[in-house]
Amino acid sequence: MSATTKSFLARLLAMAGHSPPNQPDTAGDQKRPQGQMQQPVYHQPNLRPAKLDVVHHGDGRISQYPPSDRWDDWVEYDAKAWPKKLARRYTLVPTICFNCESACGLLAYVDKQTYEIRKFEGNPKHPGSRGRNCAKGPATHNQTYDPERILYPLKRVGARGEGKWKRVTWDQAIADIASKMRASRQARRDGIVYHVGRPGEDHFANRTVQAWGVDGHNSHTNICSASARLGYFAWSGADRPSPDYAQAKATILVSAHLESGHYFNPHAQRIIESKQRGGKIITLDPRLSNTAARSDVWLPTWPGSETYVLLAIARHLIETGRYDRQFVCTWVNWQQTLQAVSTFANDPEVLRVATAAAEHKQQVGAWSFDHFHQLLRALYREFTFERAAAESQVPVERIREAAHIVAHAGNRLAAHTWRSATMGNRGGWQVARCLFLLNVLTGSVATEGGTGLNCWNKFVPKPHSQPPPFNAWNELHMPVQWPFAMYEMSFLLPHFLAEDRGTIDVYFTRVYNPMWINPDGFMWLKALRDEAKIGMHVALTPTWNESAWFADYVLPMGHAGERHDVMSQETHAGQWIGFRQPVRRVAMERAGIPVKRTYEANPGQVWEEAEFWIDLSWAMDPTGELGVKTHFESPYRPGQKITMDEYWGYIFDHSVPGLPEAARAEGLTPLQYMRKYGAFEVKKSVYTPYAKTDDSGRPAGFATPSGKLEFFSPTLHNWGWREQQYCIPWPLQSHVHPSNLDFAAGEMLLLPTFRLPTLIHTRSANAKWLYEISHKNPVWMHPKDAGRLGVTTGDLLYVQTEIGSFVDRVWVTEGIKPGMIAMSHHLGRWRLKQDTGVGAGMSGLAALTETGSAHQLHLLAGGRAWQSPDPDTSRIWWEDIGVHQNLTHAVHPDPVSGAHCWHQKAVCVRKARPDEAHGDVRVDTDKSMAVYREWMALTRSAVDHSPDGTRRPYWFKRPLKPVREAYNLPGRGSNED
Amino acid sequence: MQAQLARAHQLAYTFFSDFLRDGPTPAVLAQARASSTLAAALAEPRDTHADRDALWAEHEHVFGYCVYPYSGVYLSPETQVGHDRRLINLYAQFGCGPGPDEPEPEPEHLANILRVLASLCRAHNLAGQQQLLNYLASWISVWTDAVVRCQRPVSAAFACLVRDTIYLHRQGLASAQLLDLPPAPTLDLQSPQTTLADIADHLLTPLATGVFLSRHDLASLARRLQLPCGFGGRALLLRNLLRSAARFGSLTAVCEQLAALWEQVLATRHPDCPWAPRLRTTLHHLASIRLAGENRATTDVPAEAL
Repeated sequence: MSATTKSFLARLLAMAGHSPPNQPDTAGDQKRPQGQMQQPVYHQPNLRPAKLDVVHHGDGRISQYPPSDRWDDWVEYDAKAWPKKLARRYTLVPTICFNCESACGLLAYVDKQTYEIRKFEGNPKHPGSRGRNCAKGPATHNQTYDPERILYPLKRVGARGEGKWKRVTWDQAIADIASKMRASRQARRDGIVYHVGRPGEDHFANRTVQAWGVDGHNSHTNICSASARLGYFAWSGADRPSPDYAQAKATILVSAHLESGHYFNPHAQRIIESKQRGGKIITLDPRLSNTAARSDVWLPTWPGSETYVLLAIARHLIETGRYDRQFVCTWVNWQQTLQAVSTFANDPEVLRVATAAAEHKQQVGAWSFDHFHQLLRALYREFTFERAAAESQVPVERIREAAHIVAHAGNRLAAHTWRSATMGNRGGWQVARCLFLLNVLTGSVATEGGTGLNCWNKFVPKPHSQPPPFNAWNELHMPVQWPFAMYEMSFLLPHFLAEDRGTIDVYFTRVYNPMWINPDGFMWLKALRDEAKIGMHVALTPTWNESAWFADYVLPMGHAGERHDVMSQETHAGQWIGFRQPVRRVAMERAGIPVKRTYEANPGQVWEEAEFWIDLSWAMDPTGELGVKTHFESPYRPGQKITMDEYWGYIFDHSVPGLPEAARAEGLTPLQYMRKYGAFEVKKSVYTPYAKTDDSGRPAGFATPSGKLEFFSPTLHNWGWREQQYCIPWPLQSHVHPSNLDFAAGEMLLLPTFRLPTLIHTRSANAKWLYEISHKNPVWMHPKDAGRLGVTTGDLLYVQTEIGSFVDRVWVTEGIKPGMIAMSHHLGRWRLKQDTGVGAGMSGLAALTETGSAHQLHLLAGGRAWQSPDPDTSRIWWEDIGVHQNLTHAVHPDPVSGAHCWHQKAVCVRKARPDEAHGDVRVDTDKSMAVYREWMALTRSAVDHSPDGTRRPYWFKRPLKPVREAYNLPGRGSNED
Repeated sequence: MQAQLARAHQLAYTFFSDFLRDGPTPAVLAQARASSTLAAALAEPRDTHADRDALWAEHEHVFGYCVYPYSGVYLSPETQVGHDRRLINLYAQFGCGPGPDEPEPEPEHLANILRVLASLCRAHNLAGQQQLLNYLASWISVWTDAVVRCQRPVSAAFACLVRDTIYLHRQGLASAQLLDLPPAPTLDLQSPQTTLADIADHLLTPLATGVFLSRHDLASLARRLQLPCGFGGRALLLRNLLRSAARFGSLTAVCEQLAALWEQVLATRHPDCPWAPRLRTTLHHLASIRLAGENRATTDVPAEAL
């Protein structure tokens, strides 16, 4: 020890230009000598080494991948066989992850001998994810080989929900379902419903529903993103932000976006790139999330107070002259605002400015922007930092610091909100309005480092033919009470059915679990069981879920490596398109093995939706008399059913700019190119597209009626929301505002709007790796509240909501504000039979009981190990699989956006009593209906407020738009421009 | 000669501090060549495509993820940073660190302690060096052992070099006084109030047991025995490991493996070393837990009861 250490000291001195010292040679006080290091042993590989593709990431790191020219035949050692050096020969097939909406690229390693998929890794050729994935991507392998997955079409044989099934063929299932659809379509145009969770694909299913000629599209958007969509749409005519994070100087996130937001993997990469270049991150979140922890400024705002903070920042920009006057003057409808201000404002100072502006207009014949500047100052003068601090319960210095960061960012401000505060609170859509106001004021709309809109960055191609719009209006989806709903009021479907507003003939739930994921799940249970209300329920799903248990058909659909789709997302200020593929089918076809139908290559008879929809639509209209079949005929072989190669090949040949040329350069067809690489970059960058002019010199502008960014929304104003707090960016009081909670009586706020990054709602339940990482959702509670209630981490807690109660364990943490509790929203899966349903390690065995309107879910047992062909299932070591809290959530439809406002009032929170068991849930559905009616009373119906006799502003987006006549209210006016 | 030696120590501690704080930057690596063991570790055959990445990854893995270089982790009963007032008092006494009421960020980080030591060497403050060396020598071997067990060559060579330099320097100053450790937290295995979590927490407290069980230790033990231990912090890993060991009948094996680790550490300690009694007590505890587990297994008590 001493010799080497002395030598080290001597060399250090020598390196510094000194002569070496003498050291006293004494032994250490430890017996231990300098031990032999255990060095790793390196073997010379027997294989010819390949030069790997290297991807240099923006944050300085590099990754290496098999070179794409060798994807057809790639050899590497099997890591699982270590220390044996077992070489395996693969064909690598790119596809797109199906676990969230990011559409990240995956590379499937398909064994060339067995055609087994050995693993999924990242696809370095994918412009969005750039070779990187979160845990959910590689876990696709778990889902593919899940021993509990549904492998064959199943038909119910007992009573609905009894859990008795028989295996049928695809032909039998299609014939039965198609006949019901045909009968419905002949009788009416609103009897078939396609209810989709996260689509995970662009256009195919929507095109199919449109081809059926029915108003049948029903999305989950109103429990997901409706509020943010309305906020952005009212401003710009586009319903999502698309920040250019990588180039930003400042990023504002109203969410835990780095770890779990929409497109979080591609976005997080770019946010961190910005941070590493000196960019600042500001996060608004009452929880100390991983995102908050990585932020420069964390603003733990009380839910619903975010608008105050954002408007205080806006006021700072206005008062200090740090806003982009030129941009606002050019692109904002400020003249319309000045004209209308006297109709919505009642503040004397604001009205004084309005009067002066009007007089000026009368005198010189034009509005003056100076008056708009004065108006902004007058409108927002009350939003001081101090007021924001008081409302948000955040130290004023932090809000001031955030404002300074925004002011210094100039037009490189990336800002994003999607769910979180917008979906938690009544009026949450104003959070998006106020956030985008900062982009508008800083002129950072679609600038480099700014915030664009999704329509400029998401690329949706066109198929060979587009079915015409239908002439129908489904009142169960878009009722007159919510003319601005973004979009269908899907979470109220069971309430509407309970009120006898209509019935459904054929109800498809597509990779969607409405009874579990929606609030007020026992109302769904009642609806799904009622065969008079829902004539036939067909569940298209890769795995069992709670809703599928109450289906008439359960049809197994493929995961990420088992289906064809195209997909694109606004991951950055560019444009790309990705291609999802059934990887075993592609591998077999590469080897010359013909595959006619994808289920021939998938496990069991798991199919893909695209081929299924074609066959089903064909069977629904065998003679072509309904006009459905024609949309599924080959463009190359008239009268013949279209094939997958023809469908996707046509798209890649005709509607992806630059792809044919890129393919030709490699001697490939566009389809071969996409099968080889799995993605194509359409545009490297898209900046300020609204400023691009046409041949006549007119700028493209925005997709609003004015062509401008609408600070003042004439549409909201004209449709009955005339007050200032609705028609310009302004705070709306949340239903969980402190004044609406009786803290003295023990009421608290229940915040359920976050998820764990490794899970994705109910889709990821059968991924063993993901569940090993996270499988329970304890109640977060601040130590102050825990002390008050006398609970410590691990104790059982009883939480009572407006309509019911649940019991869960508590986690005491300073990572949550006092006065509220929080709970991740995607755990607590259950099954009703020991050996069927959601996997035993991922769900609890439960019993449902019902007495009148009183419902109970009682957990009989937690997760457990079980024997299966996969030895890992016998190693399940956890029991707590979480608690299904959504059952106890009352529905809170926002009166404007229609979004479910997720935050709940916890009317009683206390330590559980001995007879209250973990996972117990109780709900009274009479109370459910009462709360539903309270909220519906807040709406302003199109019947009373429509300015033109229509149900909804025609320019407002719908996933599928009917013909214009369908917008007319019964017996009322016409929707003409 | 004394001046040269002081200069050498100053350079050495500055280098150690830089390495810990900044990672394997080119400047730090250039200095690392002065140590034959470090140079040898750096010259290990590696994947040539990713040498720098691998070094950075190793640094992050060992010092950021597995073996935390904070004195409070080893010397406080809470195993937490910010709980060792003695160091703050020492700093105040030297006048070269933060005062008692003005703690700098992370005063307990080894990099910061070594930087203070370097400044004491530059100032020829022998008394200060002595006190700080005594402080460091009281826990540095626990840290070094844990780093070496991570089996990453550069980090292991570096940790040994830090430890050896401190020992040699301390002995050169004739600082022979006994090392002063805070009292050891106790564990009452007979008490019915003692839970699995209490046992796990105790085993994870170096001040009580003389060993820092890192995430690497726990994960490799779990892998060796093919037991799941999940993901997360050390406490969660060990609780999961013990629970799954009980469930799958491997509690004896886990106790044996842990005991082997403790025996291995004990064998390297001087019999008079203040850590030795704590190591021996822990071995007794492990034997008791093993016995209790075996008894319960024969009476078919559910694993959760353990």
